[in-house]
Amino acid sequence: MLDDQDRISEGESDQPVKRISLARQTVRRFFRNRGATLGLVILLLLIATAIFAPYLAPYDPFEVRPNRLEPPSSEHLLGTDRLGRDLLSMLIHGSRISLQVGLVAVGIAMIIGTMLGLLAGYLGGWVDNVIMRFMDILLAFPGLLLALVIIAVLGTGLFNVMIAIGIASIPTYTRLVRGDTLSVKENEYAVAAHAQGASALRIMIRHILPNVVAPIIVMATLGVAGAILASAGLSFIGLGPSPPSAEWGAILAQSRVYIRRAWWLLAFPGMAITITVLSINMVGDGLRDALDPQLKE
Amino acid sequence: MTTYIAKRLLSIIPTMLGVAILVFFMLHMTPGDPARAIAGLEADAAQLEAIRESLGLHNPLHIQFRDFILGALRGDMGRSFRTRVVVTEEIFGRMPATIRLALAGMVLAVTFGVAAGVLAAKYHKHIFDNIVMVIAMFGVSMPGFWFGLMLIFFFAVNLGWLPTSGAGTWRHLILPSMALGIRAAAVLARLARSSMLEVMKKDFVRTARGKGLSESVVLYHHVLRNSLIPVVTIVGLQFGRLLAGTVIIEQVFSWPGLGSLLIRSLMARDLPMVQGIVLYMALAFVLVNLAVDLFYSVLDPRIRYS
Repeated sequence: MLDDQDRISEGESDQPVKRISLARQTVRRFFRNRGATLGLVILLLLIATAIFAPYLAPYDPFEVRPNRLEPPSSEHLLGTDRLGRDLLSMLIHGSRISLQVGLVAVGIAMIIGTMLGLLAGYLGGWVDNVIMRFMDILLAFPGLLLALVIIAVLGTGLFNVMIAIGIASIPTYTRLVRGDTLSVKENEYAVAAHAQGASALRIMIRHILPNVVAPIIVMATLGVAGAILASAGLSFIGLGPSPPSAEWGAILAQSRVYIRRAWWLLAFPGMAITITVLSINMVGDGLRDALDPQLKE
Repeated sequence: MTTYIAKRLLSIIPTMLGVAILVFFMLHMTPGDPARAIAGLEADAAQLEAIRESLGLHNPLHIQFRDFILGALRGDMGRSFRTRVVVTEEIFGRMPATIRLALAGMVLAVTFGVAAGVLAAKYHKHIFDNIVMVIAMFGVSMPGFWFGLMLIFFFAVNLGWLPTSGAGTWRHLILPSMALGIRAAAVLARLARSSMLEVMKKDFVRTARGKGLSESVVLYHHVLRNSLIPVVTIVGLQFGRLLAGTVIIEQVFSWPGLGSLLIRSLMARDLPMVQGIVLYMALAFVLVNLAVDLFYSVLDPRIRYS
């Protein structure tokens, strides 16, 4: 892994041609992976769905109609809910929420986690100690528990769910970046930059960050999938957006009681979550294999 | 080894203290008045004041914190704001149900996950490997609570084989533990497979084959044993996820454990109860991870702690 990163950085400094070919190799490796390519196609379709949701949805997702709990038909492809709302339209609008939650939560975690990891790894000493002991405390909360406590503090709602998942995911990025920073900062170019009098901030951002960015990208991609799952779960237990909401987990929560009468209300929202998370996971796995060929079996 | 265990046990103390401090201050600095939550909207100022008095909420924050830590050290987490019962009693009353669920989920996950991963590695590049990996990919991508709902739909509502919710008999345990364990099973299957494939490339495996050992001896004695270390590491982490996962799965199956209590207490701003549950769950997680670390030396005699 290190070798590979070294090569990338060498190419960056004096041989731009080589760098392009390496990037192209990565792209080629990614697209040679059928699962990753399929995942990317599905993901792009989902993103397009989210962007053009108002044009794609056959009905207004919140418009109440008399035909309640209608099974899937040519008129309502995925059926209607207890208020006669069109499920397909709700799911299409819900894709916006899910992708947004994933991106915002991961954005928070990645930015704060990476900064803390760079600081801890590069500065070492008491800074490292303080940051990492704090991360140990955060890591002592299993799974979603920290996010639950944060929601208890902030209150329920979609925005707070994003923040809670984001904060709860910080330690994973900090650990990853710190570990990589520790090894990268010993490289000659980092030492040389230090000898030339470059400031710590400049070394961290210009010399270290570019060389630890590949694993961050992989982790962030898989993190989006994890955040979407987590937010669906939190919405399902009633901590997410208040109704009416097209959030997929919230639709499932409202549909629970109709498990005997309206299977479509339970089956399709769950499938929407699964397909979205699946496509992002496939892209993430593909990126990992493409960026780090040595990991590949 | 004994020194190592003692050292690790001691290192739990600052971590748990940190967790306690963090949880206490986060929960006590939140907006919203627990007295109001208990008394309801009609209560007048005097009633609210009386409730605050009885809960110790009128004390300055540092006094409340001191009382909380001193109590917690004696195993006293105070009384529930909502029901006035002793927090630890309520927690211990519900803990067995959650532990039963988490253990059942873990056993399912480890058994089926590791077995599927090992077999997938054994039949690498055969159709079996592909099938297992596709299922595992779905397993890590599917919300566990939704899988639980689908299980209820098929096995309880439609086929009527198993109860839809509640606890009591072993039949109540089947669906919730499947819903809880599916993700961990998928994670373990993927990891066990890649770890096995990794070890299979090692020289000692070729040597073992070269000696003329049978394929199953090579696979189960040489490869499996050496590929278990990353698997065991992840088991510890997955246990934590599983423990926290009970919070959601218990809601799906109306399972009378800590998770459903936590959500109810959280909604009612029942601070002592939330603190107590979170602290016990974190403690269980930290202890399981310690046990996992110690288990390494059993698996790999080269790892000796001093």
